[in-house]
This record gives sequence, structure tokens and C-alpha cells, in this order.
Amino acid sequence: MDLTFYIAATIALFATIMVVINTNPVHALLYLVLSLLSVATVFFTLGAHFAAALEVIVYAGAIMVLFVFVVMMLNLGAKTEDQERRWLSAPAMVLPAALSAVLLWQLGTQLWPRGYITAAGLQEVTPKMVGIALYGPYLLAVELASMLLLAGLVAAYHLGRHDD
Amino acid sequence: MDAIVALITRLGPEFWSTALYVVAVFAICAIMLIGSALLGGKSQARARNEPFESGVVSASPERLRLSAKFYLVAMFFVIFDVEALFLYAYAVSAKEVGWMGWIEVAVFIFILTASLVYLARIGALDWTPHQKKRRAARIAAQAAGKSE
Amino acid sequence: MFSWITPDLIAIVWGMVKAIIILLGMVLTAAYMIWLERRLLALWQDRYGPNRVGPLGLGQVIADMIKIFFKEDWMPPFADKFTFVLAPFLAMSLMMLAFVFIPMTPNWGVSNTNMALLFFLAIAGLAVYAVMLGGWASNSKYSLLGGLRSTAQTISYEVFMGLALMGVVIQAGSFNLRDIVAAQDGLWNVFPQILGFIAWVPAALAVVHRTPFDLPEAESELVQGYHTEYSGMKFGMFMVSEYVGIVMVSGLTVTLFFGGWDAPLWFDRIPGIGAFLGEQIPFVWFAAKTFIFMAGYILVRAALPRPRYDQIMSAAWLWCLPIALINLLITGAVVLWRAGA
Repeated sequence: MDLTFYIAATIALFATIMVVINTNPVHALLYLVLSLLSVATVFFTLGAHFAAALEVIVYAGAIMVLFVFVVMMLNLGAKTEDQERRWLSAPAMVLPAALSAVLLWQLGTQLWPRGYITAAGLQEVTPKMVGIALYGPYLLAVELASMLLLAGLVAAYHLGRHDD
Repeated sequence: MDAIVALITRLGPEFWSTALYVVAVFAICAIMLIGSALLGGKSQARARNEPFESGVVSASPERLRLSAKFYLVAMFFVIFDVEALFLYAYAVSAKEVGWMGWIEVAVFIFILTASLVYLARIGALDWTPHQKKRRAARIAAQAAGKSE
Repeated sequence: MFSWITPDLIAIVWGMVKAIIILLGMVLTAAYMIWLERRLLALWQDRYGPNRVGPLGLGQVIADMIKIFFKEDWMPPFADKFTFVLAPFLAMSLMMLAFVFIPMTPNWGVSNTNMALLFFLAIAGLAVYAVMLGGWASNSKYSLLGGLRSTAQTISYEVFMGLALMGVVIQAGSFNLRDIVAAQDGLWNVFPQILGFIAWVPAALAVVHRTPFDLPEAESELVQGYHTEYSGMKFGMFMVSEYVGIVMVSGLTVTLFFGGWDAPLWFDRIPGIGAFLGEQIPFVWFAAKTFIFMAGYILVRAALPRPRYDQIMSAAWLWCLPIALINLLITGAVVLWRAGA
């Protein structure tokens, strides 16, 4: 399983870089799907099977579908590719890269010295355990999530509505 | 030899048969694509390389204006899919979480249904074209006028 | 000399052989599904159908396959090359992959993971990309319209597809398909889960884009929908993927609602041959039940007209989704009440 983890993690890194530097919107989104699928594989190797399935169902199967769908509808063609190429200049990459580096450094200093980094797959988390946790101690969180989703639904309609 | 066998048997028959199945599926699809690319003939004609259009010179799809309904339905799908996942987690542990969990799910589904009813009432899920509705309204008005 | 051949290794090799047999058997069944559909439709429409190549026209499938391999593999110059090839590849491979979870008999079946049903839903979710990318990559008006329409329809039916199956999961307490079959010993899920089954049937039809949910390919208005620009083997893969999907979904329906390989009625209680019928021929029962659903797909195509798009969409959101939710609540309550908790 260790080997699977490293392969999946490498693919995830490569795919994410391709998302940033690819100029075709649909190709970039497909790389993002690939990245999410490999992250799901990483979850799977870590023993979080339910999270892996959710990653595929929600991120790759729903949110990315929405993204590709909107790109399809807007018909971003050759024009946007040129624009994207102009925007992807070296000076434009400096600040985001610096920000990511700071974030990475923060994470590293938080995790490394205290020895939180442990071997993968120590404990397998089954869907049943997730359900028992959600509908036991985290009951209220589920309730709040449903409220949040309701609000999201209403907002989505009224933002996307076209008056005619 | 023994070391290799030990390495293989460590993962068990289910892993290897699933892995082989997955590889074979991709291989079959690749063979179908590559085989037909190699075997297929080639031909040329005047209007060969034009997109399909019923007789008229093709218009670029880039200027196509599409209904915002399509975007909305994708948005609703994302939200309902997330709600469905909470219910998947409930379904598999329904016996363990007991009545407390059931009540929570009932409230959850009630809120879900409320949002569905709201969307249906404001017409967000109504895909009937506007012309058709206007025509239906006109016919109804005419019928009312005649009966007077 | 052969000391390295351990029983474990033999089990692995036998498992791999079984996986290949299952895959090839499934693909062959899907191919012959095309023949079956043409013959059955012809029968119901009072004509012959393919009856020239081989006995009963059985060779027609082979002839068609050889022919399609030699068709020109046309790549439209205006298409997005990579995505254009990726779409049929995804359509076919995802439908075939989903079959990996279906247990056919107590001993046959490739994967036995505890996440089978979730993985199936994940694969069904990814299958939308085939239609979307096919429509987008063709860079043609009809393809784009067909792709959009088809995606909107597919995702609308995906919302409740998973929910319709959750009643089954509550009863079995697991996503594992073998556990679900085991939980149906005595009473098939179709009876207690009748509401779930009612919601599942349209989802099962829509997930493989069959009539009456073949609006993506509504030939009278959109030429051929998302695969207008496809020809040769790439079109063939879209078509075969539909039949592979039918076999896979029929098998899944049998597993989830009709007891898998369990003998129907009281066949296993018949004195004398009951033990043989109940225990010895599980694959025959599984295949027979799957065949009934495959034929059901064809019957639906022969019998039902295509509804309007707005009717299809409102049926999904306003009828099937509430039915699936109600079923989930009722099942949860009944299971808890019977457990005496």
C-alpha cells in the first residue's frame, strides 16, 4: 500500500501543476478531476475508505461536473486560451508561489517537530463508524449542515435566475 | 522465486483478480480504439471535414446562447448530492444509531423536502418553455371569453 | 522444482482466470444483447430482424464487429483531439468497471469490497463525463446541445439513484453486495423495498440512456445528440457501452432487489430436487433473472414513446426524489421498530 500511496501522491502533484499551467479550460478541469481521483486513492491507502468514495462522488462526480458544465455552456474557445496564455506570465506567478510557500512552511513547522507524522493506514475508518459518529456526537453538526445547504440552494437559485 | 511468490501471495486472490480485471477493461477499450485506427480505411471528399449540419453552412457553436436552467440544475445537483451523502452515512449505520438518529434524519429530510417544495413552488424545477405556457394561458383566456 | 507453487498461488491464479472469464462473459452477453434486441424488436413489430448470418442470425454480431473495425476512424479536424477520443473510452470502460462488484454466485464474482455500492455510485457519477466531453469535444452545435441536455438529465436522475438504494442498505446494514444478497434470504428486497424499487427503475433506465430516457440522442430534434460527430469504432464504443450498461444494471438490480442467486419462490423446498435447485445451480438463477431485466429494457424501448424534456425533468425532481426520501424514512422506522430498539 505504501507504493500506491507514493504513486497516487505523485500523480496528484503532477496533475495539480498541470491544472495551473494548462491554458485550455476543459483540459485544466480534467487534470483537476485526475488530481481529485488520485487524492481519493491517497485517502483509500490511508484507510479512510468512506472519505475516498465521497471525494469521488462529490468532488469528481458533482462539483467538477458543474465546473465543466459551466465551461461548456459559456463556450470558452480559442479566445480565452490566448488570454490565459498572456495571464500566465512569470511575474504573475511570484506572489501566489510565495503565498503557497509560506503556507507549506507553516504546515511543516506545525506538524513536523511534534511527531504527528505517522505511518499510513493505522486505523481503517469504515462507513459505519462515520455514520455512528455523525448521528451520535455530531448530531447538531448534521442539522447545521442541512440548514447551510438549504441556504445554499435558495441563494443558488436567486443568483442564477434570469429575469424575463 | 520463493521471495517473489511470497510478495505476490501477500495481497491475496481478490486483489489480484480485481487488478487484472481493471487492467483488462482498459486493455479491451484501448484495443478497440487502436485496432480500428490501424484497420480503418481513409477517404477524402469535398465536404468531408465539416461539422454536421442539416444542409445549411455550419454556424459556430461559440455564439450559441443557452438557458440558465442548465446551470441551475447542475447547481441543485451538487447540493442535493451532498445531502444524499449524509443519508448514505445514515443508511449504513441506521441500526446502530437508533431512534435518536432516525429523528435527526427525519428533520434532515424535512428540511430537504422543504427546500424541494420551495424550489418547485417558485418554478425553479419547471422546464416547460415560456412560449408554451403563454400559449396555454392564451387558450385558457379565449375559452373563458367565449363562455361569457 | 515446482516447490514454489503454493496453494495460495494457485488460488490467486484461479481468481485471475475467473476474473477474465467474468469480463469476457459480460462483454459477450452485451454483444449478444444487440442481437437479442434486434430480434425481439422485430418480433414485436411483426418483421424478421437479422436472420441471415449464421443460425438465427447469431453471426450478425460478429459480422457487424468485423465491419466496424474496418470503418474509417474519422477524427473531425475541428474537434478537440484528446477529449474526443477520451469520451468513448470513458463511456465503455466505466460501464465495464462497475461490473467488477457484482457477485454472481457464492463463489463467483471479482471484488468483494465493503464499499461496493458506494463505488458503483462513484462510477455512475463519473460516467457523466463521457457524455459531456463527447458533446464538448465535437465542437458542433448539435453535439453541444445534446451533451448539455443529456448531462442535465443524467445528473437529475443521479440525485435519487443512490437514495433509492439506501433502503436496501438500511436493511442489510452494509454497502457490501454479498451482505445485501445474504440479507434477502427468505424475502427478496423488492417486496419490503417496493417504493425504493419504483424510484430505482427510472434511474436504472436513465443511467444507461435508454428509452424513454434517450433524449440525449433524440434523433428527430438533435440528429444524434452528443455523438453526432462520432463514427466508426468510436461511435461503436458509445453504442456497446449502452449494452454493457444494461447487463451491469440488470445484474445490479437482481443483486439488490431480487435476491441475487437465490432460487425464486419455493423451488428449494420441492421434495427430491429442492436441494439441487436451491443449492447447486446458483448461476442459472442469477442469469435467468438478469436476462428477464435485460429483456425488460428491450420491452420498454418497444412499448414506450419518448416523453417531453420538461416532463422527464419534473418527474425526476418532483416524483422520484420524494419517493426515495419517503422510502428511506419508512425503512429506517420499520427496521428500528422490528429490532425493538
